[in-house]
Amino acid sequence: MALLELNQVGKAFGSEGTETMALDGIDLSLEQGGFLAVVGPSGCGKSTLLQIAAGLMRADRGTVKLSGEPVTSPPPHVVYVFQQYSKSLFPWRTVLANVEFALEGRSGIGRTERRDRSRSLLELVDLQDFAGHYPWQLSGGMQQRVAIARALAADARLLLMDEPFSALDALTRLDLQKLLLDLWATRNLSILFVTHDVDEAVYLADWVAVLTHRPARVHEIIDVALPRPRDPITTREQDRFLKLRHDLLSQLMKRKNSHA
Amino acid sequence: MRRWLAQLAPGVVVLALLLWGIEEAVNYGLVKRSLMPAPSDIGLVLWDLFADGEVAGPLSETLARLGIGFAIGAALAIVMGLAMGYWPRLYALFEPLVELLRPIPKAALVPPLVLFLGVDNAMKITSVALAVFFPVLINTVQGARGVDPVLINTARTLGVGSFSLLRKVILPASAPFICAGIRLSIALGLILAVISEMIAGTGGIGFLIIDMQRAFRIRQMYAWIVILAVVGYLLNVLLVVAEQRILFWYRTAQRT
Repeated sequence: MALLELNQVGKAFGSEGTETMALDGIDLSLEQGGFLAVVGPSGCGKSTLLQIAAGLMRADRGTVKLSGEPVTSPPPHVVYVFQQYSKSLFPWRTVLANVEFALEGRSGIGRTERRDRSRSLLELVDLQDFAGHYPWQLSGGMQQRVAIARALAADARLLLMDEPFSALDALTRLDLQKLLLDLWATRNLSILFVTHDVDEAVYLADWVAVLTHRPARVHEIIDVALPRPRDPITTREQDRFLKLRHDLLSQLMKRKNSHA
Repeated sequence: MRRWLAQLAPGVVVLALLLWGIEEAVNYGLVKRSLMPAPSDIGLVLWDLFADGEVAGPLSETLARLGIGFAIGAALAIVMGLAMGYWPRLYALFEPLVELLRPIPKAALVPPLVLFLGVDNAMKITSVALAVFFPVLINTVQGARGVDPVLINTARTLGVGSFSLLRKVILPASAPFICAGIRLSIALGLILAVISEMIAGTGGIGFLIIDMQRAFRIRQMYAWIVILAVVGYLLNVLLVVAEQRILFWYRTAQRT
């Protein structure tokens, strides 16, 4: 059984009569421990798809199942990581308190344990020296690290990532991609990763789903089949990487032009 | 410190010139001394009031009414404002009522409140609470409705229930608006405390002002008005300092 299963998911926006279809019969599934990237032209409804998967938005049609159970509200152990890191952190809380937020209100975790766990997670994302800082005192890459540490604190099994690195500069992005792959491998995470960056999708994922322009459908799903562990430099030089990148980009650009 | 003084200096000069102008106008008979005593005379009365320990009683009476009324009004307004901001149905239910009651100058409600609650503290505290309630409510609703959905969705996927969401996310995120409402409302609260004391009962600064006026003790009347001005000023300073502490994250976070 797949961990996450989207079946014929459809969603329209706007009032009756002037509706625009955002998603039209999306079928996707993610295995336990899998890494699925979703690419598509901007504005094709990728975020909508992810929010439906997170239980933050209801689909008009179709079903979303997590471990076989229908998703109707945000399920535990599924954490959404937003592109707008500066808006998803609590500016009145320190970095440490932001991470602790995910552990508060959980029975059986005392104050000291909460603090200790959060500290060790900050260490994991290399922010142990910034525990007492406030998010707005950190760079964008560091803020997104805090968001990732907080997701881990929530004991995330499934990460739903909405273009999490697209607002970062190129080097920081490579850094965070590497961090994410490390965490994914060591902590038995499953990841659904939405991006418009083909390079990023191929580099990170096992599978890349290509969406069509609005209304979004799954055009095809590509098996990346690049060896792991992946290297930020050499993986991108492999023939297979270049070929996949070429195919995906030409597909997306063709679609874009036909709609421009 | 020096910069602070430099900023303050021009305003102090204007104030000093104004006082000096009134003083001279009174001394030269341009203004009737019986209507507007010289500032130096008022100063002497103030000195006597403080020296005889006559300030603390009425002042604490008025401040207690203001404080209790403010606490009740603000607390109710924040709770209701957060709920209305978060649940659209609750907003739809109460918004027309609020919009209808809000424009009534709350001073106009003191006479009917006297009918229901008499002339004692219950009426005065209720008057203050009513005056405080609406600005805080409106601001809290506005703040709560404006919280970034990214922040709310983040908290929800981290497994936060409605009550915790309101308390730990929406309340602090609305704090800038709530603080603005509170600063607005403390001035209104003071007005209502004084007016309700003027209309009914005996005691408090409001009562003294009208009592001195009726007794033609004009210098005393002005002295109490000066005390009120200082109280209003200090309350505002207090709130500004408290606000800067509570909202330390706000302006800096906005810039980035």
